[in-house]
Amino acid sequence: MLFPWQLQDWQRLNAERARLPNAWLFIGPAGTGKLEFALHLAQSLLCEQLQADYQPCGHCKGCRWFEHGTHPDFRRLSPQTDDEEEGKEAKPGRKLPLIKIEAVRQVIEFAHLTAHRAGQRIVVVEPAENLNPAAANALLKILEEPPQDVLFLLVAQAAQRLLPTIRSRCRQFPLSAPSPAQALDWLRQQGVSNAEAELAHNGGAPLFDHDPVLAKLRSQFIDGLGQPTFASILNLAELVDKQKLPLAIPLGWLGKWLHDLAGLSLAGIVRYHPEQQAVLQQLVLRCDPVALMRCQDALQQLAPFGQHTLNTRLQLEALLMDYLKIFAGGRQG
Amino acid sequence: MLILQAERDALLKPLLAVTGIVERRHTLPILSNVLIEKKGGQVGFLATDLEIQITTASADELPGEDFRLTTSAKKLQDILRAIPDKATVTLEQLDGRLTLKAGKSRFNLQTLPAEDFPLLSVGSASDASFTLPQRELKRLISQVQFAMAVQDIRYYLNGLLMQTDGNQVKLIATDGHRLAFASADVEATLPKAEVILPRKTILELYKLLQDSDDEINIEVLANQVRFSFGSTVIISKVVDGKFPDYNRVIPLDNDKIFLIERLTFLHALQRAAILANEKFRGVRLVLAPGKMSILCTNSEQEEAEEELEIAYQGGELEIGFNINYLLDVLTNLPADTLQMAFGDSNRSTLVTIPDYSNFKYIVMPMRI
Repeated sequence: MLFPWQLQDWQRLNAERARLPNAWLFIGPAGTGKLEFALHLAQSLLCEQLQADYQPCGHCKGCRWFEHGTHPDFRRLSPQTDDEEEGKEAKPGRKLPLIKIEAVRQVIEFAHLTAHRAGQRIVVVEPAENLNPAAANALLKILEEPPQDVLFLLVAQAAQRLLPTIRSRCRQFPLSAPSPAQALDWLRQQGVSNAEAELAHNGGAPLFDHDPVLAKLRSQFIDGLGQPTFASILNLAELVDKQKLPLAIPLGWLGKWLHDLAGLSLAGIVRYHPEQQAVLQQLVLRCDPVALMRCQDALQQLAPFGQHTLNTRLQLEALLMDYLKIFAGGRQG
Repeated sequence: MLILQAERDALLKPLLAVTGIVERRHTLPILSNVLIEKKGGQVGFLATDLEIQITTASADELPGEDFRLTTSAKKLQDILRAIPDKATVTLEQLDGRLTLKAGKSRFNLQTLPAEDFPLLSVGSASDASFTLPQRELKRLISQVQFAMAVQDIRYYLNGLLMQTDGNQVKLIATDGHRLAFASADVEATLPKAEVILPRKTILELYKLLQDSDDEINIEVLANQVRFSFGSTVIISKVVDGKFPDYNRVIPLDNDKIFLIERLTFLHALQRAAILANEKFRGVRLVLAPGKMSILCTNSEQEEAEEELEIAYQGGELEIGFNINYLLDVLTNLPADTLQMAFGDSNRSTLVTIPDYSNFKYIVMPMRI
């Protein structure tokens, strides 16, 4: 599927079809449909009855298999597939963070066998920055000179986080992010309630997991943050713990809230919570910038353990105590 | 709706021929299924693992309408095996489920749509097509398959090179330490063609081939190879790569040559191998006029020594090998007498069968 804001990119790509490279590297911000773009390209290359404008037909054998995820000439390298192969149920929020070398070796084996159908063989690597160093190095040789009719499509948020040796073997293709208006339009079409707030909260990237339960929880959490008292803080930690959320989610919410606090106090800009502008304004008056930075530091230190089995409640309470301290000075003075 | 009625064996036999390649656990669920297709009286079974596709047809004509469906190969096979020999099996299909009845037993199986089954698109035929007795092909494969590499990073070694040239078919396998070559004459004039057959195809084909004079037809297609024998057809993908030039590794000027009884040599090596180093598997051969000593030592300083009398009058030589590479060739050769040709302790050794140019085995020495 292509998103409305990707039509121009699609045209730009089609102009280069005559000289497709051995590997594309699609780059763009998170949540703007990079993977969907790469998959759309893969489907169009595997479609056996290509339509005008290189659009896949959607009903030939190739397209059917592709849509069911069973196309024999298509492989996807991503952390999740690794998890599935080991036979474990992928738990939400706890996917394996890295693409490992075994998965890459399987793909290399796949690429060296001739095609199942008469067409091309496509490998999508997503997200490419999650290749661990061994896996990335194992991929180098085949990426540089893949067998005939094998095409690699890499998807990454930031090219500089890839090995330079990987980067130099791919043709880079920056994908455009949607304009705020496009993103809002699309969200409304999808029937997302409260589209502006959600879009702002996700930093303008429209493809977030829209989960009404989580959204409600988040607004409760944010409301709690808006009234920094000792009792409400403890309630917040309990609220999150009850839902068995991984630590990463409340950390993300708190991080964005702190970002807005800092942004408002230093530059007068609110990025993630425009609807809470008034509350933020009140808080900023009482806020101690040094304590704010300290709280942000504490959050950064905790961030790598977002998927860890630390005691969520304990960690969150400790962090929220730091958060309270931001306003402690204000109350005294 | 009733779709098929047949005796158990009419279904089980062709099913067993195709289920060998079905993998129990695969990322694509449909690959654990078998495609059953009835077309004009013949019931065909088809299975694939994305490397090989095997089809067979039932021997007898069966009444009933045409249909196509896929269902779990393993479960169907287990059910058919478990019901009595001469029982009549009926298959019924309703709402995407398959009901199998035999006597008073009744099984309800899930199906997946036949259109979702990933069929190979078969490449265009080429002129490199020939027939061999199954026994002959089986013999050829047994002489070389042990030398194929296993999961080597040089992916093109994880398979077997098949070359056609004139009236000859050649099979070559190597893992970089040893190389086996076998060839056969065929009644055809073949163009020059070469393909690398994946390891799995060879192992599967070897299992399915019978020791009979029934013929097997082999066709090299574009990017594929097709083997047809009896009512079974195997289409295999091939490895996309360049096999090393094996002619350059065959030593021509080895001068320390003698003949030796295969079984005598094999048994002596097998005894010595008991005390070979478990990790390096080294064996030392010491040649002197009239005799050959076989020496093995392991990490615990234990030693085995064997002495064989041989008809050899050349110079002395001490050379080391991986004993498994010698055991492999000695176990798999049909001949009684072998010719060993040594050069020096750093050069490869050639094993051949006297007065027979269709087999060669080259093994590299090992420094011990």
